[in-house]
Amino acid sequence: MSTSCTKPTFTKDYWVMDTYCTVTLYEGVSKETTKIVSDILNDCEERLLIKDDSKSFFAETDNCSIPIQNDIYEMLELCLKVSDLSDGKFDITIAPLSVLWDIQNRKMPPEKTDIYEAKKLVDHNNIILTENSLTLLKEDTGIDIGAVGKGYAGDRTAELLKEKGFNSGLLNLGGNITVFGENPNRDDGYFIIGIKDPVNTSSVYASLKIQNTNMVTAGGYERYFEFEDQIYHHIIDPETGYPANSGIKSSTIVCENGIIADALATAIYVTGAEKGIEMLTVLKNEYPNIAAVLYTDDGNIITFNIANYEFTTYNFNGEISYYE
Amino acid sequence: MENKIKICDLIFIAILIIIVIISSILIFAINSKEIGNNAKVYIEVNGSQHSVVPLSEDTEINIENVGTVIIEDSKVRIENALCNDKVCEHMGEISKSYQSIICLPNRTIIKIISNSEEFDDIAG
Repeated sequence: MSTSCTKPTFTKDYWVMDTYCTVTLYEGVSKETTKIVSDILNDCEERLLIKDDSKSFFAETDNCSIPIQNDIYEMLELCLKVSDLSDGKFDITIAPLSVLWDIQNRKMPPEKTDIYEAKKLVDHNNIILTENSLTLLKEDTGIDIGAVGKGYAGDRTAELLKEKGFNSGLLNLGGNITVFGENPNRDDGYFIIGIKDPVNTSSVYASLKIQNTNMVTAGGYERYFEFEDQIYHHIIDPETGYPANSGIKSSTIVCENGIIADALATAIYVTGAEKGIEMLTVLKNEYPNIAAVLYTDDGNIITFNIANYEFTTYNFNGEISYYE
Repeated sequence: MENKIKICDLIFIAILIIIVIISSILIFAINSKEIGNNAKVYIEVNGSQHSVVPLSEDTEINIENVGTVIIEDSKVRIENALCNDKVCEHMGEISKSYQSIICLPNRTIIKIISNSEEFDDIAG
């Protein structure tokens, strides 16, 4: 089936879901393909707007409810599962804190008292979820699905493209990778995906060989601001109310479920490696191929369950620990 | 006898020179394969192509309302970014195929295109 020098037949960039997406398809491409892909991505974007035109939803009163669609229910349920697993270190009710920090526009950290007040509103136990509704129990609490939206979109886009008859593809949704089918450019049909070096961004520090799965990296090295020689990045720890500082510079997860991959990459960035390995061990029961590559602040690598992914490092001099 | 020794010396020197030339060619070939001396920097602003320039040529490109794209020692970065979040500047330097610098507020893409087969894409 595979030959070594077939070129991708379709590669196109889309600005959608507040990010930059590249879709590569290898078979079954026609004149309509551009439109088919853009319809699918736009549909994902629309589904992610849970209230009015927003990816976030704030409770204006106590016991505030909105209707939700079935796949959003499934996504939120997985988010709550990761919240429980991480003892609340990953929390989609982070919205009051993320709005306060507004990393895109801020030039200095918020006032301590404001952080303290916002922090009190973050608690995933304030969510009541049913198959067709989402209820927030307390006024001014809010949810923000920005952190898992791309993971959801990766799964859904791949699924819909397969239904449309595309047998293989590579999706890059703002740095989140989803691959499906066989890569015709490699004899074994696998995809080799590099991981950006969080310190020296022009390099790749490691790579994994993957097929029919998602690969997501979370890190604080791109979206941040500097104030008085201190870096404030965009991944906020719900417990402290400040940017996470767990000893991890970049956290990469491979999982067949894109929502879990996305949520867990962020969760482990906040909890740190020890709790991370604990969560991965639990999730491995349900997702036996789940894997992780963590780059620590002291320049070492911690891996979990990477035996089947031909893990390779490039010009790396630190220590590598392996967990199963 | 003296002449004979000189001829041997000459042959020896000639062999050395040939070895040096062959090694140089090999090293050059391996290096250029690694870096991909045909790699290009593709710049797109607001959905249309702005420019395509060789990665190997040091240059500065000023893009109106976006910032300055600097290509230096086969690495690319943005300086003086005119957006609010500066994420494009924080993305640092890129040098490998499939690496990109994205400026969301200004809808600007800077990516490296080469025929390297090292990676199919890069996460992060």
